[in-house]
Amino acid sequence: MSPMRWRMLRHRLPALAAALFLVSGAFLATAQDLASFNEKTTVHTLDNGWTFIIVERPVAPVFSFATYANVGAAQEIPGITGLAHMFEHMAFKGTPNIGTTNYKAEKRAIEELEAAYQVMQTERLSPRSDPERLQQLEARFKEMEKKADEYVIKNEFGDIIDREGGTGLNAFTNSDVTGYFYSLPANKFELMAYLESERFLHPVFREFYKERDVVKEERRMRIESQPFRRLLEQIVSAAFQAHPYHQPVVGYMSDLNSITITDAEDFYRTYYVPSNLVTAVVGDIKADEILPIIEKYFGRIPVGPAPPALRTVEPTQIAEKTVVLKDPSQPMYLEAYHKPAATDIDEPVYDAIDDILFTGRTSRMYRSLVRDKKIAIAAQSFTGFPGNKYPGLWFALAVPSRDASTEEVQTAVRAELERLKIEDVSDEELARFKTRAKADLVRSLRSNQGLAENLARYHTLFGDWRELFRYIDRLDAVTKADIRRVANVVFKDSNRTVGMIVTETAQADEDKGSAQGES
Amino acid sequence: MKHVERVRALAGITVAVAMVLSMPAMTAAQVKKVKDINYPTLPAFDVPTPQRVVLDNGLVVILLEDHELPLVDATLRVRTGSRLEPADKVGLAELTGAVIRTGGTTSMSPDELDDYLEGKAARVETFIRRESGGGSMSCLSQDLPDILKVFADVVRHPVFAEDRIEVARNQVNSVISRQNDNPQGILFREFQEIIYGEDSPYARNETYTTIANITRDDMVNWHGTYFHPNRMVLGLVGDFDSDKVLALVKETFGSWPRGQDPPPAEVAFSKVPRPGVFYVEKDDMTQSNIIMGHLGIRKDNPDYYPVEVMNQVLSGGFASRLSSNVRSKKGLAYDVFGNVGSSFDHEGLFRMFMTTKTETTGVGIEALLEEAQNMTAQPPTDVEVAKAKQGILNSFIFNSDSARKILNQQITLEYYGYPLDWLARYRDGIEKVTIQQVREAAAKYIHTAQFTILVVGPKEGQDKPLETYGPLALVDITIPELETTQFALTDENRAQGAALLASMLEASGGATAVDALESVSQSGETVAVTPQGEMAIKTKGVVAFPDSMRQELVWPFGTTITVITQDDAFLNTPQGVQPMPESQREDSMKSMRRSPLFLLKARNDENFVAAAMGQEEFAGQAANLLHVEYMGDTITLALDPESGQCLGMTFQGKNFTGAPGEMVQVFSDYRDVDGLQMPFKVVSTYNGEPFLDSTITEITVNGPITEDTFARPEARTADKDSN
Repeated sequence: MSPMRWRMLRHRLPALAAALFLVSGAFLATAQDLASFNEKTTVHTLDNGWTFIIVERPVAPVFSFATYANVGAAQEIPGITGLAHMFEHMAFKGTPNIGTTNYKAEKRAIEELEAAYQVMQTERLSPRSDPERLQQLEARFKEMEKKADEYVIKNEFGDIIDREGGTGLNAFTNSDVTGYFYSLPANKFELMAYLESERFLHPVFREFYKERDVVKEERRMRIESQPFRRLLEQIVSAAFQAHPYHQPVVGYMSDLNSITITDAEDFYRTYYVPSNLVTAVVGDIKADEILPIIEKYFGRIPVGPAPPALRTVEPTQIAEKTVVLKDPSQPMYLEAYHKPAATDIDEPVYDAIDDILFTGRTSRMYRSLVRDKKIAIAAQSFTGFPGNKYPGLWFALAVPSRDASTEEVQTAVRAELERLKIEDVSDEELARFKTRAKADLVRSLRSNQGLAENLARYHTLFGDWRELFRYIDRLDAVTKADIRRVANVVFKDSNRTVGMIVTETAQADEDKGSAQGES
Repeated sequence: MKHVERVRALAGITVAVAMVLSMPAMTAAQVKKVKDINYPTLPAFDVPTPQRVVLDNGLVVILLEDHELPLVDATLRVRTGSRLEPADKVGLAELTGAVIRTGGTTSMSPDELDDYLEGKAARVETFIRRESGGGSMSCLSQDLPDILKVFADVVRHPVFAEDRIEVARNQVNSVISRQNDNPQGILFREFQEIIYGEDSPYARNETYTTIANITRDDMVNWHGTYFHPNRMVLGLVGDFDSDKVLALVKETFGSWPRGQDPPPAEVAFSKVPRPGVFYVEKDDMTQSNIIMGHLGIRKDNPDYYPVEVMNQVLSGGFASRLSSNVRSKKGLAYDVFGNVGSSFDHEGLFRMFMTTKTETTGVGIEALLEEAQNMTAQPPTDVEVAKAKQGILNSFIFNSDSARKILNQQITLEYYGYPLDWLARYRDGIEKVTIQQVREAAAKYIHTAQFTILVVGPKEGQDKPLETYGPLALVDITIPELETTQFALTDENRAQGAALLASMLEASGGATAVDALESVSQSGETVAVTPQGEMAIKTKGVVAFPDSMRQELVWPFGTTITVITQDDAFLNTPQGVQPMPESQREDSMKSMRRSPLFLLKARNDENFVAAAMGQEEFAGQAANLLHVEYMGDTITLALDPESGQCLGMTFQGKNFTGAPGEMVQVFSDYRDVDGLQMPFKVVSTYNGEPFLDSTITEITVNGPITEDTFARPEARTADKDSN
């Protein structure tokens, strides 16, 4: 409905695991299919380090692409939380060639605006801030903002794409990466090359402070006004004590009130170097025809030094943590366990656990909580949130039924996790997981956009798109013993953070029923 | 950052030089502006045409081959919809749609169906929405013959297993309980109710009461009324040979006889505008959600194409008016949209929507109103209309870029009886739209004076009183409780009740013996029908009136002990000792109080109510029914008209899964225990199905009770980590 949904987090609960990290993928006959896929696929890295993965899929005269920047909210330090996402928004604001009536004059106006903002901010954040002076500085800032705005052609960047028939124009930021994507008719590849090289060659931070207001509205809408997201923000910040995964991707309100154009420029220069970017293109295009166009446009971008590596490693959790959100909304129950990064050798084992416990009507959680005990209306696991590039979290979520208590749900969830530690899963369960994973991968190959995003994601994570297919072999090798071993490592009290919403109303206790039989 | 910058600059020069040297063929002139790009012609693309066949039984079959991947998908559309359901059973269509699939078939139980499909990574789902019903199927092409057979079996022969009805009912009820948690959910729901009218099938919502009114028979009848092959369109797309798959369809669906069409039903909705401001106060949020508008149009409206172009100008893309002005220029919202909506066979809604911080609620309303007014005050310009048309036409190819999209469009057009070349007509229609038509459409279909404005958000902190924008009405979103038919108490039936109670007291051993009762200990054997099957349980229980009990159940898997006293309540299970949740303690206390002797002991309590309900049959014999209310519970006792002996009772109880339902206990084998008459056989049913069958072997009255009876064992304590 709204074409303007920058997806900060693609957070659709039922599809979360798949959407955030499509590792439930597998392929029919792996090695063979990788070979056939290899034939259609061209990988090319420009001299400046930007990698392109091109898949020829001439189904209809269209193509899609996804550009992944290997930077996310985990690269933020205190004071600039929300900046990775803010930059993503700014990447829609145009360049010296797009979105302006007079770039020279506009550039000067933006510099003056930023100077006015810096003076005002210094006053505002000073412990001895003078209200009168602050007011004057604010007035000055507003005036500069108005002046800079006179040169702006509103949303010209997006307008060009809309006009030329682009669809699905969007972007997202999570803790690990920032992704940009859309689809165009097949004859407009050069337009994509022009626009996408422009936006990362010389982005212009116009309308920055207005857009910051938009992002603040996004925070209010997505997090502050949604009970489940309020809880999730709390549980994640409780689970991580040192690693930046504990920061919300959209940022804290105080930081959104304070990040500046200067911050955004620094961030851009540090992280948006070509070697930190990968673009996957899928559709009715021919590699040998588009490679010269790619060289011509993306080759314009100068080499940059590799961004600094993240230093902080989350220490081993030693104490169980519990977050209770007393809220007017209905109960929710979540448990989070620390798990290794997605590149870890055991990642397929976590997929097997997800599948056997949570996927479909044959899953253990569905059969116990939803079908038999009727204490939950849905049960779901998800990983990759807030990220999976670094060691992250594995979540079990249950939505309690109207009459059920979070205690009952907790008992039932724990029983299934415990069972996994002491009993082998059945042959049928293991086989079902592998069959389903393979079929899911096949299903994921029929969308240009989906495929482009998967290739870009795998390249960003593993440095090689082929992992998308090789992952199958690893998945196929998962054994019952692996599942028991991993369950015993991960499902420990000391590795757990529990989060729940407890309904707070006058009759909260009376409203709760029970799931015990009459006796 | 200066150092970094210098490095970058130098590197840039090197690369630029390297590029010029390594790619001499490349044109030196860099493209500066987008208009400098020349596009090659878009290659010709023949949109594949699906094959359409009508079977003898009236089933319309649409087939489209797509051999790229070894997959097949099917979609079924059925002429039905929740808009056709009776007002007192809202939710019937949705529940039926779900349980057709989840409730099993005549040849496969629900679990067999789930195991079979998921074992092959296949999916079969069914559903009924507001305007239609249907199903979907997806499988690997190698499994098509098997899965198509299952798909046909599911839609043709559902058995609506009671237990799966309860799963679905529980889910719907739980969703109702959560309907006010999400602000946008409230906003769109209430707006629909205000515009279409709250009783309209296009707006009304299920309640606990309408869900409780739905029976399995209703679902069987619904399926029988609407699910006929002559009311369906079946589409298949994927890796198959059309001739072969058509033979398969004939095999699986062809033998399904035609059915009679139900009489056409009128679906009413209000066409009278309801201007004014409506407000839902919701304080656990930091924004106001704002929506405004009125009725929209139908897709067969002759002005449809100009309206589509107008929508594009208003809110169709990044540079549309709403996005440029409300979002980018004013920074008021992250999410803002608006369009004159259209539906295939009734008027859609014209809606403008945004969310903005509480402090700019008034500013936000004004911004949307201004944009609505400007559609006529500053009518769409040549440039705007040209861009809007260009955008729609240039992206037109994306309507047909996959076989699945093409198939689903055909099914929808077929379902609503629209011409099958509608998409081509659409393109022609858009091409012909003139600026004059767009301006006329704006004037004709946007009427700010008729706007219903609805706001959901906190009261504290609003910048202007909402009355500024029209007469204000508060909207009550309290979720209605389950309406139960109340038994009406009168002086007469209470007097008769007192007499019945007296006869029961006599039959039980008389006032003296009953009032001297302090505790009952009993042991026995019970056969329980649980979700895991029948189980034999050994039971041993002590009740010390009025508030203590201990119950020991020896299950096949271990022993569970439940203890409740004035100050403690715990469960002792093989997993350890855990505190008993408050809700469960409450339920156990209720079941303790539901003993005839306990009720008799409480007969003089001022809160004890008893009233005669008349004579009716109970467990195959005539009985006087006695309505009893005590401590929040309502129980119907059945008394022998001759002796006054209690034959049994009926009440709202819960089964092992916690689902509430009608519990009936039948007492027999009365024996004398120290002057009290007590049943040694108790048989319970739950919603008419066998539940518990208890044989009591021993009863002791006023036996020794020590502190140990109710003491906590010295066992390890289970984890207690949550509040």
